[in-house]
Amino acid sequence: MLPTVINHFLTIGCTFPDVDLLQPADPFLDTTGEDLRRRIFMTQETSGKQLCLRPEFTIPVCLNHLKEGHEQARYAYGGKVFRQRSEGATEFTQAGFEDLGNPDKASSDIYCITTALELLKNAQISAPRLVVGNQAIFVSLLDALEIPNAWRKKLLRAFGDNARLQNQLKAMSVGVEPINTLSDDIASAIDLENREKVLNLVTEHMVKDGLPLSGGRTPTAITERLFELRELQNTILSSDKAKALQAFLSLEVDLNEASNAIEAFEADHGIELSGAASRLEHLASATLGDVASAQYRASFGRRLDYYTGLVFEVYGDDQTKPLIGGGRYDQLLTLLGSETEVPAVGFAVWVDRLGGVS
Amino acid sequence: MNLTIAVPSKGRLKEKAVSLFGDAGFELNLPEDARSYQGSLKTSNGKEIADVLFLSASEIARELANGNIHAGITGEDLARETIANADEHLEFAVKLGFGHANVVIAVPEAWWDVNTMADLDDVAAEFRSRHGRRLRIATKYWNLTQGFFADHGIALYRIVESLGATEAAPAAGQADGIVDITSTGSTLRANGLKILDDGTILQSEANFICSRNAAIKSSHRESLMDICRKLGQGAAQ
Repeated sequence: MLPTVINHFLTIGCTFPDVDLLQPADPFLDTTGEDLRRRIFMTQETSGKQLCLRPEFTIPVCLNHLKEGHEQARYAYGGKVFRQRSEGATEFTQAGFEDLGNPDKASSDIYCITTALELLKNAQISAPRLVVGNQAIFVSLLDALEIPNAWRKKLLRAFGDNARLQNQLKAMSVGVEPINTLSDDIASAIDLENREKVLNLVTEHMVKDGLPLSGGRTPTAITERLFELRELQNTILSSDKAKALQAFLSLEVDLNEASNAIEAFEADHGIELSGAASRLEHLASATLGDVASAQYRASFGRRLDYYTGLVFEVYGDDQTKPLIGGGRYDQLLTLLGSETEVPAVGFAVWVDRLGGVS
Repeated sequence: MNLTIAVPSKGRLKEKAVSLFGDAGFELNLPEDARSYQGSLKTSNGKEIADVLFLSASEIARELANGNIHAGITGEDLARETIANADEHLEFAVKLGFGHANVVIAVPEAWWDVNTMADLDDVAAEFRSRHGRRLRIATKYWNLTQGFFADHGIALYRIVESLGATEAAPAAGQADGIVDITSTGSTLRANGLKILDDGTILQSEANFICSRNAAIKSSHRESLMDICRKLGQGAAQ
């Protein structure tokens, strides 16, 4: 099936960057985190530089984009990737598409999803099922509800993992215990909202213990978080806001109904989610006809800090294993060293799941 | 293959292990030749029941997992660090009551705002955007650290390998926090570090560990169970 997929990407004019099988491991570990180490195949050069077998293509494609200094480009790739998994093959074929640097996010989101659906049509997958979510809509809800920043960050981090999110919401409705190990002078300086005093005390402590004041956590960062914790202690989520959050997170509707559902939600709770309804309506009309069903799930997201907006998955007959997964990851290129934000959206195809002659 | 038991080849663990067998009514014969690493274990009436190998503590864990020896004495921390999914391969049969050490996560005391793993999760999540790199943890316990952080849902950090004086890594600017063993916590305190409230990864001590992967005759199994029973009684006293 790989030639069919590659051919589709060639037809729509994608660039195919070279991506070596052996990759430097650091960009993967830095972006996804240390836990990835257990899921990839590591090796090293005699110099000690750590390498890994290509676990995916997106990060190398993005690094290549930055290295070549392109403003805007559409890329595609296809080949073997390698991951340690508890079950299933450790070596499998992945293909995919990345649209980098396109400032018109709404239309590149739609182009990305429709490309994925056309590709499946070419691969003789009839009647796929689409599931979409969008973290940006959750962000507008947090804005509209004026959730304090410290809580907002915790909620955004848990978004996509319902159990974690529910734990955070529970914690928000009972409040956070104050820290009982603070020294008296720091505790009273915090109570008096004397930031400068707190900053001085933290700095003194770090100097006494011989800790570097830069290069790692700074006295400023520690001071700011002490005041953030105070904000967490002092704000308890009102039951109205809790109800609005729960009602939003439980939204699961046909994509054609999604804009109506969002409008009804806005009316029920007296808030506005900027542009969400029309965005979903555009998405619905663009995908109509190419899918057997399309669902909008308000709580659907990915727990990686560089995913920022649209996420989607496309399923065939198997309800549990997606054929295609994708989304918008506007923060990734910044993590990889870009000084400015590079809009990015793309998807990966599990080629081995498409069936047919490979 | 005779019933084969491994004992640490040096240090306090070796001394304790030798006296433990004596207390339990066995006779542990050390190698006659100082360069040899093989001895034997006899019952009180002089019957030889096992070969005894003197190996390094982490080698004992590996040999147990490979099924090359039937049982051995080593620290639970080393066994769980060396062998992934240790309980599938090893049976931690008897806690021996010595070699106590906790594997803990510690951060600078000056981090007044960080006292729990949840706090550390907050800090780790923002580390890159605030400080231009991921949070760094110095340790020699890669597996224990990865498992514990994953259990707490923390992915955004990096491990820096540390093979000695781990507690000095934060002051040296090599890492932000550490995962290390401690018995009283005094070394940590002397280095301006504190253990997180829920930051104890493992309460370790020396264990008599049986291999689940070594082929064993039924008569040997009985001897092994007898050894476990007597060591258990000795350790409980």
